[in-house]
Amino acid sequence: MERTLTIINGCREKQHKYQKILYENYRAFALKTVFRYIYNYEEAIEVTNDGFVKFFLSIDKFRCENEGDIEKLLTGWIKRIMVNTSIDLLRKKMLLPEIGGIPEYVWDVTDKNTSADQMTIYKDLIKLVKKLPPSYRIVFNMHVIDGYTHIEIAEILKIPIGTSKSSLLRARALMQKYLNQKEELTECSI
Amino acid sequence: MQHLENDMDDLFQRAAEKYPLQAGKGDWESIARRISDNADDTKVIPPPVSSVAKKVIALASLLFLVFTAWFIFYSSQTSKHAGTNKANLAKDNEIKSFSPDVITNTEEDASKQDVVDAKKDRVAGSLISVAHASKNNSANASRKTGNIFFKTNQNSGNQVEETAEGKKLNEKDNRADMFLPSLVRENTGKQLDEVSTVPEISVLNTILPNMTKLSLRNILGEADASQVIEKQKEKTPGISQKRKGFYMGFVAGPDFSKVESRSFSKGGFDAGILVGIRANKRISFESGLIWNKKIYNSEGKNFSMNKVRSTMPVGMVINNLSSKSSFVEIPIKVKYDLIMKHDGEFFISGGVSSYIMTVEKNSYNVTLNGIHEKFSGVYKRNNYAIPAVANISIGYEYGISRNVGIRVEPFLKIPLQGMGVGSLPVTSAGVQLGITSRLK
Repeated sequence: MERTLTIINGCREKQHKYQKILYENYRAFALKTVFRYIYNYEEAIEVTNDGFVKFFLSIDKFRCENEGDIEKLLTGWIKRIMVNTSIDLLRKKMLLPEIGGIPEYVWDVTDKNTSADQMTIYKDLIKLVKKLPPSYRIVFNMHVIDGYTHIEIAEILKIPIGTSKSSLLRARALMQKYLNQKEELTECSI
Repeated sequence: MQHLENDMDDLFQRAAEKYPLQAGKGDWESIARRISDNADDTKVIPPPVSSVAKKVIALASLLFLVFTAWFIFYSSQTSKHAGTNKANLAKDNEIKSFSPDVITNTEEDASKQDVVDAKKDRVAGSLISVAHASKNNSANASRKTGNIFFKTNQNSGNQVEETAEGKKLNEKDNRADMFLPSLVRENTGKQLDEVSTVPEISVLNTILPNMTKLSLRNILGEADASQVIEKQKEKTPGISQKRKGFYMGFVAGPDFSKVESRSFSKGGFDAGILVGIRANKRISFESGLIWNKKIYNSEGKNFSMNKVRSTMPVGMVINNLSSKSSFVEIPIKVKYDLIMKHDGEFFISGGVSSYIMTVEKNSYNVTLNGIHEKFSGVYKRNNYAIPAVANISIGYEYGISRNVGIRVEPFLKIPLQGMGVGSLPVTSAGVQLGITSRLK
């Protein structure tokens, strides 16, 4: 915790040493967040970098009254910046979906903390999210995974709250359907 | 159902956290560079001047220096010339003051051998001798084209016989020396004939400018006076003598800008070069390259997010902003000379101006997620507007010589389209001061 506080203070003082440490520590997390929205690895890296630039330029505004939550607050703040930056890019691209599958080289197979089966399941779930229509996908990502409320989603996406809710309902229904299909396929293969 | 949903949410949250995505090597160097650049941009209070703006400033400064140097040189030449004229004028004044007292009307009182003063002049290649009349103002000129003659008194003594009134004048005063050439002074009293070596006193340059038309007509007669006046007009510098052709100049002045109902903010500045062509006696077409620095404030509602939405945080609302913009203005306008005087002209002009923005620095007051915040944005070479404003002005141009004029021109610029990243409708007013010179 103290280390995190030191890093944040170093970043506030614009010390590149601490900025680099923070970047290295949270890069993977940020990239994973962005990738769920963008689904293009190269663009996701760019957006992540853009997000970090925004983060470092606005770190003075980061306030943490309770130092016990600093790690959680910092993660939340980075996630919010990354999501906003991703949505900005998607808006620029008129929410056009990324065509095609996800290339295999983007997956990391060297993680030894997680079993291969679990990794496959997580990978497949993320692939399933990509199958959702873009507008549903964003709402699903924001609400289910990133914890935004419908009010926040409506404000950020500039859509009515009802639209956000209905999009989520349909996204859930579709996801349920995909999961069932996946289950059936697995059973058949066994 | 809720249970299933919660399970699914939990499942996807874990998947999002732990799915195996390559983190790659990262690109800290580029991020560090961008942070430094942006930090520098936000630290600099005056926005950084782009290379284009630097060139424009350098060019404008150079032109200003050239014009200043040329103006000083020209002024010194003119004053030297004017000094000579003044000396001649002084002599002339002596003649004028002297003549009524000492000169006798030769025709009326020739037998008394009065002094007749002759003033020699050249008009249009002819030498005219002017004999002033006596104090009753019955001036009479005895002219002789092609010749000069002086009549002087026969007395070789110190006293000079006076006019019909019998006044005498002490010749020791030597006032006659001031205008009579030495050759004449040595004369012992005989009438001089045809003194062609007498230095000339220019009527045009010395006497005429200081004489009223009435007195000139009294002296020279109607026809000759008209001729001389016409020639005087031709020779005297004046803006009305401007001919068709190109001219260029340097203009600069304060600029006050505002957006819609907001009041004018503290002043900006503009400076640049002006080129023009005089199409006829009254109409000219002008263009140029003018560097502008504008300072203005605006309500957030006037700021269009279309060009910057991607760089702004989502959900942010701009309450108001202040802007410092630098750009190059290219005006195209028609100038019409309303009132043409001998030494100047009142004019009106109208046209349009295009803007090429070089640097725009905006400071925003925003509301983001219910919190009031401030932040700034620096935009370089981001846009242009063709045409950006309608330009109307009135002014006065004073001719300091036949080719050079100085002008003062209050102006008003009305927006035709939005300016800058926020497409703000910026209205400007100010005064341009300038110096122009006809190109030979």
